Amino acid sequence: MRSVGVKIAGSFGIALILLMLIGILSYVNIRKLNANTQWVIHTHLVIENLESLLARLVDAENAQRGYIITGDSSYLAPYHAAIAQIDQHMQVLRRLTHDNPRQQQRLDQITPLIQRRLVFFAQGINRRQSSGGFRAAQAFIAAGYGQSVTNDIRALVAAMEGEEQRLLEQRNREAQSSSRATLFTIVVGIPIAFVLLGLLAFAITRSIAVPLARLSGATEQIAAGKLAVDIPVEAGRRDEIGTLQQNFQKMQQRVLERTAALEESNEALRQSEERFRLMIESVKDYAIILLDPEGRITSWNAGAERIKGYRAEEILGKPFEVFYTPEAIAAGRPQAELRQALAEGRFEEEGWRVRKDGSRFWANVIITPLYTEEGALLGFVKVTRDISERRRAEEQLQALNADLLQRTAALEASNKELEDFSYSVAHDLRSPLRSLDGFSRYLLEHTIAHLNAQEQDYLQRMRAAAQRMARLIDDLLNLARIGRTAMRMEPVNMSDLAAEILARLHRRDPQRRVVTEIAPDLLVQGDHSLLRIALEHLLDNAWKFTSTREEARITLGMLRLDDTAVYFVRDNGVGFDMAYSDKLFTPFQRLHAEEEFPGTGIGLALAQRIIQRHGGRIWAEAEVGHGATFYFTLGA
Amino acid sequence: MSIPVILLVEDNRDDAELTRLALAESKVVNQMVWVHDGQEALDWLYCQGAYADRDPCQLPSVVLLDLKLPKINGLEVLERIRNNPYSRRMPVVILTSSREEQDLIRGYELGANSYIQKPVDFDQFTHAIKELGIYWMVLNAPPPPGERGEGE
Repeated sequence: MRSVGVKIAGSFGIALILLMLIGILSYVNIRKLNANTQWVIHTHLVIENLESLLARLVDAENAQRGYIITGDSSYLAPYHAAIAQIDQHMQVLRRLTHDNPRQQQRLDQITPLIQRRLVFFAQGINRRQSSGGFRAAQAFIAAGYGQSVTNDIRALVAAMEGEEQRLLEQRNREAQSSSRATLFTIVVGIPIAFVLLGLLAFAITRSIAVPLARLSGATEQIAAGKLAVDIPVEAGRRDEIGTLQQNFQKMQQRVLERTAALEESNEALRQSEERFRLMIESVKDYAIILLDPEGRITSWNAGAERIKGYRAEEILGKPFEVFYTPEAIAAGRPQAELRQALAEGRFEEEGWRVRKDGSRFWANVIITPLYTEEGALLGFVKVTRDISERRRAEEQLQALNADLLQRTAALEASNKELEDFSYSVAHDLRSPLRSLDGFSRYLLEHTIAHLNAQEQDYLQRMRAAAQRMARLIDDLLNLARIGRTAMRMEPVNMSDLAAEILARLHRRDPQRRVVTEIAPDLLVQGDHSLLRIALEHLLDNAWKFTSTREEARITLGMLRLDDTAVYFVRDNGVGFDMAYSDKLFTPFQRLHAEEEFPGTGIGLALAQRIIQRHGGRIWAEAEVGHGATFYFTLGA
Repeated sequence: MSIPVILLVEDNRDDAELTRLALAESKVVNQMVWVHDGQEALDWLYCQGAYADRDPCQLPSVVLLDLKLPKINGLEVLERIRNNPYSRRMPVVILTSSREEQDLIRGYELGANSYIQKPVDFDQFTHAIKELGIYWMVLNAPPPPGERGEGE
């Protein structure tokens, strides 16, 4: 990732290097210019000194000639001054040109020439002062020795001047090129630097400032509440700005999500509050009242209006004591109830309350204190129900219960009576029968010689009647007893039971040919002795109603009907007409004549009662002349 | 010692007579004493009241006890017999028309030696009495006599 810092530093670095280059170039060039200027001055100095040297030579010559012509010694003073200056100029020139061997060489040539010229001057003066005087001196000068030396000096000075002029020109050129270079550097370099800095500024603006400005614009909008504003994100941007944009977008997303969630929950809360308010207000069966901490009414619903009779505007702000009976108010009950609600978090009671019209009603009252989250008491919620109806119903129920208890007691008493009756039936009704039978038998045995056949038959009939009545009584008592003896549930093997019963029947009627078929191991859960009685009656019946068959067939089996075990006893006996099947299980109901098939008509009723006590049911299928099948189930 | 006598406690004359007939037919028992109610039975057993002069004052071989009796009922008679050390081991057979389970349970709880329901059929009745007589009078070894109490 190339960070914004690196970019800015890089760009500034390039601009700074550029400016430094410009500076260095300018400095070098100005230094050069400066040096050239020095050199120009230097050249001028050299030329000036050379000119002065020549001028002093001319001065000295003029002064010498003046003396020679006039002999006036006052001309000698300027002559000496000029000579002294010539020496000074020579020293200056030496110094000025010490770096230039060619000029030094020329100075070396000039120096002896000047000496010779000065010697000629001195000789000219000497000749004037000598005996020859003016003439001698004039001749000496006219000889022209001095003049030729002067000309040599002039020539050398001219050469030196030429040299210096050439150097001057050269240096001027260099200075000019140097100043042009500086100018160029400045004129070209600075705009380039400007352009570069401009580009840099542009780049920074484009890549940092603009996105930042956009981002900040977006944040301002978000801050102003326009949360859904479009956040400019440059895809693929990896620097801090990119991260900032992405993070900001994520942040905005989070804010949007949170805001949405918050709005949703706010809306849900608002709706729930509204629903709750509507619900409370519309509740008609309960008076739901809010009380302030002192017990003044601050809220009133439809139920409160219905139950207590006040409209909201006439009750709001009143103390809730108005609902209490004067006795309760005198006893300080209302405030006591608030205190109890505060102490225990809830108060509930049933008691009398008073309506607006002064009438009383039996109320269920629940008072619950309301607290803020910080635990400050806001007030109380008081829920009141008019349960006068319920109280009436309860009273009625109690009366009914009492009545029921009374009836139950009466029923128990009559049951007891019935039991006593059964007991005496068992005991007392059987005794006379026994006498009848016993004495008839005695008569039959001991007077048989004196009785004719008809008389004996009558006695037999008396015995038979007595015995049949005894059986009837026994069966009747059995039927009654089966209904009330307690059942003892245990595993019962019905196959074994049936085998036992059929074996007994075989023993009783050994002359009969009966084929019996018993499905093995019919294991059931039931009362052993009761099931034995039921099976006895069913098998007895089968045995009895097959008595007219050459070869009787009796089957005990089981089949499954909708996952329920159904047991059956099937015979190939005389059967019966299905039209009477509904009367089969009625006590003492017989479908056959007593003479044909003896019996009390109670067996199937007994069997049915036993099966029903086991939670099962019993039914039959038969056809006259083609046998009968009795099916039964034994509950779950 | 006991005497070869069967004490029949029975309020019904017919039943008493039938029992006598049955016993006579069995040819086992010659002597049957018949008392009509619980009190008389106790008087006879303990030689008191009307039977204070009974001699020898000994217990019968077996008591045939009906349950539904005037004055003192059968179960109470049985209870007194069992509570008296003198008669505690005397065989007592309940002979009744009642088939009530509660009577049967109570009878055995109080120490009846047998419980026989009187059949209506005289043949069966005779058969039952005959077997009863043979068992208690002939086959059964009588218990050693208890200590003679002060009586009732």
